[in-house]
Amino acid sequence: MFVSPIREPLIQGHKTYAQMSDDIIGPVEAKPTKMWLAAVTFCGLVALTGFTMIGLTITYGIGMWGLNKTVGWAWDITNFVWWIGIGHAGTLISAILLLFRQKWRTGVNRSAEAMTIFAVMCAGLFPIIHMGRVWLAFFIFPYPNTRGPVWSNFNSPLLWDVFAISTYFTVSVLFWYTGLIPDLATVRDRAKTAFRKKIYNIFCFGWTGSAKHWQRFESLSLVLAGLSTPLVLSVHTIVSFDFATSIVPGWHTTIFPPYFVAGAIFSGFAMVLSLMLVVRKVFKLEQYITLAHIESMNKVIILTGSIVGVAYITELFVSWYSQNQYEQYAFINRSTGPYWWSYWGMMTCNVVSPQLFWIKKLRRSVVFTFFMSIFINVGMWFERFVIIVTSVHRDYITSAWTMYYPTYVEIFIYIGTIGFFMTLFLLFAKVAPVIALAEVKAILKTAGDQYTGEHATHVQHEHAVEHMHDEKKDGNFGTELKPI
Amino acid sequence: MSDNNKFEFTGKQKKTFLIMMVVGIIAVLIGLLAGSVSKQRFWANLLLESVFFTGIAACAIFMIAAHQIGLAGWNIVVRRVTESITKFTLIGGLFIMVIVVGTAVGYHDLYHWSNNFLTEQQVTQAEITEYEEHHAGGHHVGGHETEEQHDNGEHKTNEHDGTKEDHEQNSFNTSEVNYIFTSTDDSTHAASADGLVENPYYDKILDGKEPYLNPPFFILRAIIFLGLWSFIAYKLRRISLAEDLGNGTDAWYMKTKFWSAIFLVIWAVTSSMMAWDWVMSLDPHWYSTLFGWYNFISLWITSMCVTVLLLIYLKSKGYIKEVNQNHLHDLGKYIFGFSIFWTYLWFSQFMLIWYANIPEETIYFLQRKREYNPLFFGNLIINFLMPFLVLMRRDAKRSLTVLTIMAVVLIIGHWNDFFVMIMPATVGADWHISYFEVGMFLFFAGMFLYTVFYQLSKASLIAVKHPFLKESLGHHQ
Repeated sequence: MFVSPIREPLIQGHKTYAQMSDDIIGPVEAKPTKMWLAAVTFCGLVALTGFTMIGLTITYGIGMWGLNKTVGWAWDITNFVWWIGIGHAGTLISAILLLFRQKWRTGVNRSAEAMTIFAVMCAGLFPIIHMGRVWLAFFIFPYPNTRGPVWSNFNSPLLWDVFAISTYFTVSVLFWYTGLIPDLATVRDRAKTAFRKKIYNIFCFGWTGSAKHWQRFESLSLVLAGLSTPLVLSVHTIVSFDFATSIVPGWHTTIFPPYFVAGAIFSGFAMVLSLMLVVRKVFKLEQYITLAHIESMNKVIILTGSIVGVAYITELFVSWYSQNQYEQYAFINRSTGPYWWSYWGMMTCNVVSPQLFWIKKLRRSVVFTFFMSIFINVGMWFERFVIIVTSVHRDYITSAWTMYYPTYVEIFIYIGTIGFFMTLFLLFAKVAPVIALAEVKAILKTAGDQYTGEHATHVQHEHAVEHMHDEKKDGNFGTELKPI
Repeated sequence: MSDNNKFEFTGKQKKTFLIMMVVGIIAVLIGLLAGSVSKQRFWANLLLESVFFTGIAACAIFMIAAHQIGLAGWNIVVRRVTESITKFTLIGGLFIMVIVVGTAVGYHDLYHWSNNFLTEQQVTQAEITEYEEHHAGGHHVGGHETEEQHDNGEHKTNEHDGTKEDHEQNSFNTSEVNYIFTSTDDSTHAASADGLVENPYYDKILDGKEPYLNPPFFILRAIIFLGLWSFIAYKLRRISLAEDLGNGTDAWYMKTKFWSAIFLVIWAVTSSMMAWDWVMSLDPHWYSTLFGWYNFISLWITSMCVTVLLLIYLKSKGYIKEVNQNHLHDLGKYIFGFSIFWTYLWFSQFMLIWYANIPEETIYFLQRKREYNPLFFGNLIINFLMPFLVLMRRDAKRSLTVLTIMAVVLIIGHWNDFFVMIMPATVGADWHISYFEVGMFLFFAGMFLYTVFYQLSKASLIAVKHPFLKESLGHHQ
């Protein structure tokens, strides 16, 4: 396949396949570093604190939280939506970007998928502990029972969430694990000890790399990609239904489904960037997660950030245009009420600051991108807080107006989930390759810097690279076509 | 090889398109002169076709810009056809301007918010009489329905009675119950000292929307949208043609990228606003935040279908052999995927309004379900089920016959989508799809094809010096 010489290579350093295996599998084979041990211990302790607070909540009840009669959903649902949103980048990268033939996705898809799974796990905690009586959580599943008429309410978007999220989780895990199989086999093949070989052999299902295996692998990947594509949209759409099917001003708006999806991808990419920028540094993977990758992801961030921005402005405009005083007030209250800081925090972090990525220098700056990714995650958390809390804390009846403040229990549960997420990610990075080795190898011939770009040395098809440079000068890329 | 890229706009084709236009004009004239077609129906159809065809052209600009920014290589061989479509933006835009100016200034029945009378609290008795006479039925065929709509409007006005004053006094007085319970209008028509009486048709909601929905701003917005789109279409086309003759590609490539980025930013805002302005404000009390995106996707799918048809036609005439099944397959995938996305938006809008069941919102779908039942549900069957079932298979997307059929079906389907958005608000239950509608469509289709073919004949059908051309030529999947 011909690749235009103006395309930026995605693998640098004139890598050979063997070098790629060394670079990517290396960190898995090395002994855990002190830094890794320290990090995993710290994150584990944070997670433990969070679980302790969950324990307190279960023991004493939801009264441990700052909720009240008016504000029944606040911190926990904010965190739920925030985590679910973060869990969107993985499937988007593996399914939708696959359909769009974006080769750069191979550098980041593995970690993004892992991140998706861990984020969904964190998200799932919140609705469950919000139930209060967690031990009855199984009531959400419809199955023949002796409870008489007490059955799942199929009219409720909350129940749709159960199905949407559990499906999403299942397919994401399958997709992620399928992709891992050939890479785990490579780890096995390189293993020095029999024990290690055995363990990885179990986890890679005895993969031999035969043509038949690859053929099945490809078919399965295609089916899973097909299933995942609608799932990228459905999950956050149904999360948005939790709000939009209501008649609460600020919640009931038809733009919610696509706008939630765009926002989810936005925050997911921000989280992928936050993690990958650290991973590429620590594991020295700069030649595989290049500036071209970072730039592409930043472009997705501008795109989704702008979609979200257009949606914010649409909502704001239509609330005025509706001439419905409750709609109008919902937005006046958001922007000038007691929670004004969350609204303007959201606007700054999500709409204004990503626009800086229009500047190519900033788009390709690792440090700037890192701060931006943190910024966006903060902004997206504010967004959910704005939507949830500001819409309900001033009810139709003024006597019911109230404020919501989180308690230490809620705050530590949230921080605890971040610790939990990081612990899982660190463990994953230790036992499995953080880059999809087999997939990156597959793009070497079309995106390696020895084949394309300025430093190319290899022949691409029948045309020598020198020849291509000449073509670039006279603007005729080896085609017979002439202008008319 | 270069011969098949010099498109010749033959006399036969010219004649066909001119005949289409003439037949269209005759049909429209017969309708108007024979008196069987109301003014309202004329304007509504003119609006439908103008928005539909201009939208197709504007989405072609989006197609170029999005692919440029996404660094797509496969589509370069298709690009000249897309470029030719973009050039209709200006011509279609002129028709939109005629409607926008004409209806906002002279003919208020299409966009009835443009009538100042409805937003005045105090009017003279003479003005009321004039208004009542105008709407007393028989003025146009859709008179009865228009009446009914005004009743609706008035009813809603009453519901909202007091909204603005309360809003001004205490904008967060949520104990206000007028919103729900006040439903009587006690205006006594008592003349005040200066001969003014309370306007029984006063529409509080429209009065509130006046800062946005007023004729001068409405016209200005249309000028801005259409002007910007046409200008960028012109720029992108000119850069692309200049690239053919120039040496080196970087400069042209960077310029295209620059204008594409500018267009995407403009389009992000204007695509929604055009839908609010030209389509949503026909039902000026109703609103839906998703409306803009829904309209955009509908037009974009149509635009891709038109591109596919043009490509297949050109190929059948022996042109652009470089475009093969692989490129059409990609367009087919887009049409398949975005048809599902269109359905997603349709469902999101419909389901949320149905579920919340707020009368101000549900009335929109209620009217369509009652008065446009076959078209309303047909919309889903044609635009969702057909592409979903037919285009799912790989070989279907690679078959020129299947693609041709589906492109035609979807163009009709999305035309119907716009018909169901525009007609209930304008001609109401008294809708027709007869010689008049077909004539109006033919006129625009003829004009559209004439423009596109003329543009195709002006340059090579392949952008021969595009840096991604070779990728596109070798594209396979």
